[in-house]
Amino acid sequence: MAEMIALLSSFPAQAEPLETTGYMLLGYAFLIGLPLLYILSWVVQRRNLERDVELLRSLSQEAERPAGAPEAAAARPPLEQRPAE
Amino acid sequence: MEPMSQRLKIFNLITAVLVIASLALVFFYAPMERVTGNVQRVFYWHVPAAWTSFLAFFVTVVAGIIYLLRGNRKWDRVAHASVEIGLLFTIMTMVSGSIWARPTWQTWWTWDPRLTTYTIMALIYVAYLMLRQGIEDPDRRARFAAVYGIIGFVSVPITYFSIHWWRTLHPVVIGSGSPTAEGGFDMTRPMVWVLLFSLFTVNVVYFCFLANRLRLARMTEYVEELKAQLLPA
Repeated sequence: MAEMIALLSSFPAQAEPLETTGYMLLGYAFLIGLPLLYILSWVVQRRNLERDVELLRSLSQEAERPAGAPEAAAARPPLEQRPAE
Repeated sequence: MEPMSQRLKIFNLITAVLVIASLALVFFYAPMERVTGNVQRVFYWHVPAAWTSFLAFFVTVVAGIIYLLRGNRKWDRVAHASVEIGLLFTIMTMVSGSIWARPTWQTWWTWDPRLTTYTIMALIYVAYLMLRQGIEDPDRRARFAAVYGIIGFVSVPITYFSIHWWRTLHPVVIGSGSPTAEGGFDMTRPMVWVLLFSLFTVNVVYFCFLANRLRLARMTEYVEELKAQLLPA
């Protein structure tokens, strides 16, 4: 028994946890970074949509306006004026 | 273009505050795990991200069923947006899990039952997005996507129960796991509170993303309608 206790006490106890701070930071960089990239993609998409709307409105105005006539209103109302679903 | 409503602005702000509070709890309140060290803190967002991906795909099922019953395109937009956000959380889960596994399992990846079923689930929902891309007619697309979203959800319970059904390395958070699981630990009370708060926060992030993504989807649809009106095929 005494030999067993001596043998067990000779094993180094794990006093310190593993040094894994770098992995933690990498993990959270990804966990926060990916949603931020996703939000950034919305900003880019929204900007492109706004550009499309401007272009389509100017096309519709040109198509509807007789030569020399003042600028007509856009064919469709803006989204904020449309009834909610 | 549709301006952001006051309610959505407040919701976005609350979500940002919750995220900051959750990260503060993870880094400064939760105790360090005694064996694996700081990397265990990844668990506080890894587990909620996985749960939220399941929630997102469940929302797709519900929205798909409502679309099939009522035929309102709004529900198709919800289903589509939810899959997109669900995949975002799926990727977050897979990559953060892989980073956690490196020091814990000594490998970035292993074809363990949980990891394998989760990857199959992710691919099923990638295919959902590809299916949508491949169908021109909006009504047909919405109908096919709704049916696919309902059938594809079968992969979610299989993924969830994989750690109970098969021998696995993956630790179990709720219930008893496989005896071969590695990297598990007993949670202290502060750890449980931080996990629950993070779970709540990540769910709020999901609903916030869904609201913003739906707004973008409405704008896209508006532009598509304008194009169809002005540029007939």
